[in-house]
Amino acid sequence: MARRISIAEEDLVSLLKGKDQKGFNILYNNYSGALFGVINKIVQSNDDANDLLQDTFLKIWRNIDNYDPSKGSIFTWMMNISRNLAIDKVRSADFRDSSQNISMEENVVYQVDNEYQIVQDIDSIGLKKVVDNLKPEYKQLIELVYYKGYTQAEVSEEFGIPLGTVKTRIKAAVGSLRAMLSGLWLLINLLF
Amino acid sequence: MNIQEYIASGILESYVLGLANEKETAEVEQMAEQWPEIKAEIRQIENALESYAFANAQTPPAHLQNQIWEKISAESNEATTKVIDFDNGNVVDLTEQQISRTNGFFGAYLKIAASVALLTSVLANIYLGTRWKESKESLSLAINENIKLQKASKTEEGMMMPSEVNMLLSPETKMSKLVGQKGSENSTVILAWDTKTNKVYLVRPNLPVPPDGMQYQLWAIVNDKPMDAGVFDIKNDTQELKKVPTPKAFAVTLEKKGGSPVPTSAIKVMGI
Repeated sequence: MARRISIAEEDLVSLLKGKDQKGFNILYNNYSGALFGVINKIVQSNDDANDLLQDTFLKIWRNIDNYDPSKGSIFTWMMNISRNLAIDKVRSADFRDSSQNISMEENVVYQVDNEYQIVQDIDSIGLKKVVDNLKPEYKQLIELVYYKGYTQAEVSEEFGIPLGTVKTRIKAAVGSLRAMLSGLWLLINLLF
Repeated sequence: MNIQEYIASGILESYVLGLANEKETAEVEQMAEQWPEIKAEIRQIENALESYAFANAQTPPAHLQNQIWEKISAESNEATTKVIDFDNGNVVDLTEQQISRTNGFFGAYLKIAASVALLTSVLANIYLGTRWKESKESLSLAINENIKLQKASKTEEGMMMPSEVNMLLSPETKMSKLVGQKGSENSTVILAWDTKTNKVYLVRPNLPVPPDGMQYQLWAIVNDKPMDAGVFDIKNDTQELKKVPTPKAFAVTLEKKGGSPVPTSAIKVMGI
């Protein structure tokens, strides 16, 4: 799969463990966009998202020794950190009290302030097109679970499907995403 | 347990998505250790979800990178401020315990030295902080990049011109990074595609120098077919290549000098 990383994950992790600024720069350049996208989807407020991105990187920096590569990729680990921080924020009292915030359940498309001009992240020209082809219900399912941390019971309620079907449905959504992505690579490899 | 059935059950997706309970998580981790197929399957699920997150990436405001780094350095400075004992030149371990244990004139001296060191570090941070905020956000990025490049090459060659930096930071520009394929794992190419003019720019190629009579050629995948996007040389500078309609992906092959109408060799780097 195409990634922004021109560095092996192990090398990045050892740079981070050595508290090397180069490690931070690579980490930030490679992952800040994706993590910021996740955070924005959850909190839908620029100021909060900026703070949360900062908290995410501080937490990654402090806790890199706890990352265990045998249990998953570095992105999954970082994604969980940013997601949990963002979900905690959304569930916190001060966030709920603020009337400007849009309810998480409304699931509206996040519109970005003009103040922050959003440029598309590296690598994502074609990737976005591929992912946009995903069935809307699959997309919604992945976002609820992957981004917003919905449990299987909450998914069951949201979609009105039995709890037992949730797992199958999630597998189908991830499978469909995988098929699309590998389809693109297959196409490129066939052409050359 | 039947591995295929286990994979088909959907438990691995639940695991990666953080939906699995404690018992299931322990089970998946144990299975992954035991069966390479399961480990590989988990990795593929992670890759797909990671791609999803990257497809929905949003670039954070430019000033955040410096701001976060300053926070991190301030935090680690706090932990590692060193005070040198002027009598013997040794580094004094400045833990609270030791300060309270040190008494008399020498203790006071140490405390002053520690305060001076801390104050200097705080002042330096404030000074740096103000300077960064004063400079334009886009410039800070450019400066960073230039410093990095200068350090790498120790000459002015490869320095980014302000116009170049502006083009790269423009919201109309989409960036793409092509990564090395089999046999050229360490190669990368950074591309910029101007959505207004449809022109492709090769920002920096990191590829081996081609043999005599050969040149690298960029292909844009448009309507599921490779389209010639121009040939390029290996130099540390931005090169303007051809105009192409919205591409699905890019790839680079090695062709005879001047380029070929269709790709004839294996892909060196590709990306979307």
